Amino acid sequence: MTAPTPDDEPDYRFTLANERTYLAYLRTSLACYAGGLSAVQFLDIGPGHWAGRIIGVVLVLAGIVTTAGAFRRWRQNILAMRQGAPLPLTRLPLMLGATIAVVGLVGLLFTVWR
Amino acid sequence: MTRDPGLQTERTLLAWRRTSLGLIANGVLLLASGHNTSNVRLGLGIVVIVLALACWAAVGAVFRTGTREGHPPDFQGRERVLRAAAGLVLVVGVFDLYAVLTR
Repeated sequence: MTAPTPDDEPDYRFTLANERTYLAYLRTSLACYAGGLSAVQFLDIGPGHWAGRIIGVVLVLAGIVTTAGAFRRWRQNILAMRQGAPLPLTRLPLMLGATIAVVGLVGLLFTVWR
Repeated sequence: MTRDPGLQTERTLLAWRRTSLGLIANGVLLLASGHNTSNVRLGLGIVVIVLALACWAAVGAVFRTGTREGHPPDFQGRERVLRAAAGLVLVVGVFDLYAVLTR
């Protein structure tokens, strides 16, 4: 057994797990898009549906940022694994969680007080 | 070392399947949002559904080949495949943004 050399291909299980994490991010983006479309479709409040429109735009933009972030994240992880370095930290889940919490709360308020 | 090659591959295949389903759902939503109101959104919905079905089929083909040969799918060119998947989801996002703005 030799020590792993830098830039080695990691155990395929970790590579596959990294890929699944990436796909989970993509699904989250797709869910954001779907939520955004539904918000414009169903939150018919204010002149020109402005509430639903704003929520929709915020959600779709959050989804687009998540998609781009997911690929960047996957790449950082695979590079770190090849070099045997610790996985880098990411603020992506925090950003996503905060956005979804705020948007969900606003959507809930509008739905209750319509 | 390779304790559960089949299960790892299967889980990853299922993750790809779920992602394809998410793409299909977005295509259907685009279609529904364009119903009776916009030919553009109807068209975009159809494009997304076709791309999603292509993604579903491609994923199945890639994983079948890998599993038949008794090893998980080759990682050569992985980055390009994942970049393409992200690109596809980005395109769907732009379509959805258009649908949201033109509602």
